Amino acid sequence: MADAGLRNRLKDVRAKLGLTQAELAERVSVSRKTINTVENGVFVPSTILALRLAKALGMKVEELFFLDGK
Amino acid sequence: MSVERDNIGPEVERLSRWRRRILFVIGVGYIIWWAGVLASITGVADAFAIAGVVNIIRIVSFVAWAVPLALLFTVGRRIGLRLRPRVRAALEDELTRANRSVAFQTGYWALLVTVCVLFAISQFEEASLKAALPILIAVGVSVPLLRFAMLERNGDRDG
Repeated sequence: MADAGLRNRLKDVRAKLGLTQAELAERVSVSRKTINTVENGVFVPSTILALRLAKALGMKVEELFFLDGK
Repeated sequence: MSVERDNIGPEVERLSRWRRRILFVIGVGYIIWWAGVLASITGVADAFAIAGVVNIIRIVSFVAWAVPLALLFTVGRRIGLRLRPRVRAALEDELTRANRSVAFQTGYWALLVTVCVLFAISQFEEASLKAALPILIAVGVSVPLLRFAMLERNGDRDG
């Protein structure tokens, strides 16, 4: 499930916006567990979920997700 | 998007936890029950004079997996049908589907390894199909259930 090459700024951005994992999960209609595993790099989200997360946080998807070393 | 923003989080958490625990109980109960069946049909229980204890274990473990399974198909199904679409979507999100997929893959490999082990044993011991089948059924059913429950529990851990 995890891809060592993909990183994200989900935790930082979410915290900056003052959102909890549960609140973000509600915004994108997934479980809090999914947000937790994405933040921890355990689970690589689908393109659709990545786009929905970016939209929910008011960012471009490439600002939220990036490849290792970029 | 004019979706009502009511708080679905606690409901999703509660149902997810309930599902994980019930699947764990079914998985453990099922494997213990088949172990008891195996001990009885192979004569191990009688040989060690523990037939009484094995029977009690069989009854308790049967209740442990059969009752939650019955509840899952009756009460759980009814609850599932009444769930709001957003709650249902969150309970069946892509992490859950990925976890289920990994669980089935694990079950497949566990089953394959068990078949190989049983085949190897059959080269030295006279193995009966009657004894092998309970092992295969228990592994094929319980391993995916327990793996899914484990993956769901791991998802709750903070990194």
